[in-house]
Amino acid sequence: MAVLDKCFAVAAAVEALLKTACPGADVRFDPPKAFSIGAGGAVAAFGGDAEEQPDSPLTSALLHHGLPVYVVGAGVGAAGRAATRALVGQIEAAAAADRTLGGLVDHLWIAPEFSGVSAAEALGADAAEWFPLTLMAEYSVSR
Amino acid sequence: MFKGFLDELNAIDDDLLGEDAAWTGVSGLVRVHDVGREQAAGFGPSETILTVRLIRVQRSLVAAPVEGDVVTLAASSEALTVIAEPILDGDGYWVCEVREGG
Repeated sequence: MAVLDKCFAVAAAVEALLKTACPGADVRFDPPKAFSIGAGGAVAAFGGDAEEQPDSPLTSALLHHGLPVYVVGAGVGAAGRAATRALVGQIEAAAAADRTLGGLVDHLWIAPEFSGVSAAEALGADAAEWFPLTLMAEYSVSR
Repeated sequence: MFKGFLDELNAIDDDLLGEDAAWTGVSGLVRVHDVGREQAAGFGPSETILTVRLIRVQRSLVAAPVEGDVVTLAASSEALTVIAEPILDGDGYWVCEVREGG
């Protein structure tokens, strides 16, 4: 599969995985506009970047594709953080259950990094603490 | 002189646009302005819509509001809790961030 076709296919598969993993949440991919956090929480995913690995063979390229995902549960304070953690756990479980995205990629995992929550804040509202994670997919594409 | 005008203007504002409310630690009812709206706020590379709720009250009616105060609107009996340190604006009103619930 050509580079862009594969990258788009992986992004679509990740979106489908997130929707399956978080059935009650409002899952959006590359949201162009601001949106509300529903009663089941929300997930915002982005296309991210795919980089070729330097040891790729001549006839194909091995890509590491990182897709940023932000997760937030409904509620405030400890209840909101617990709801967020539950959604993250559902995504972790879904990734562990389908490491190849149905055969589309060689391996899918969550990057072992944490950079703190990304808080959306406004005067007069409790901050919405979005939890960032990165879904990493490794796969090959033809040149 | 101008402070007198401002006080009169605020009193008219309270009469016309305010509503009665009970305030923690304050005897009797005070006039408050209940301001609610939605606002976009950024997170990561995107934005989310937050529901904003503010209560404005004259400093002459509530001298020193604090986080945790409960404001109960008289007409609806709705209770609101102040969730952050109030900010005094240039017109002599405390601007209090609130959350639904007492």
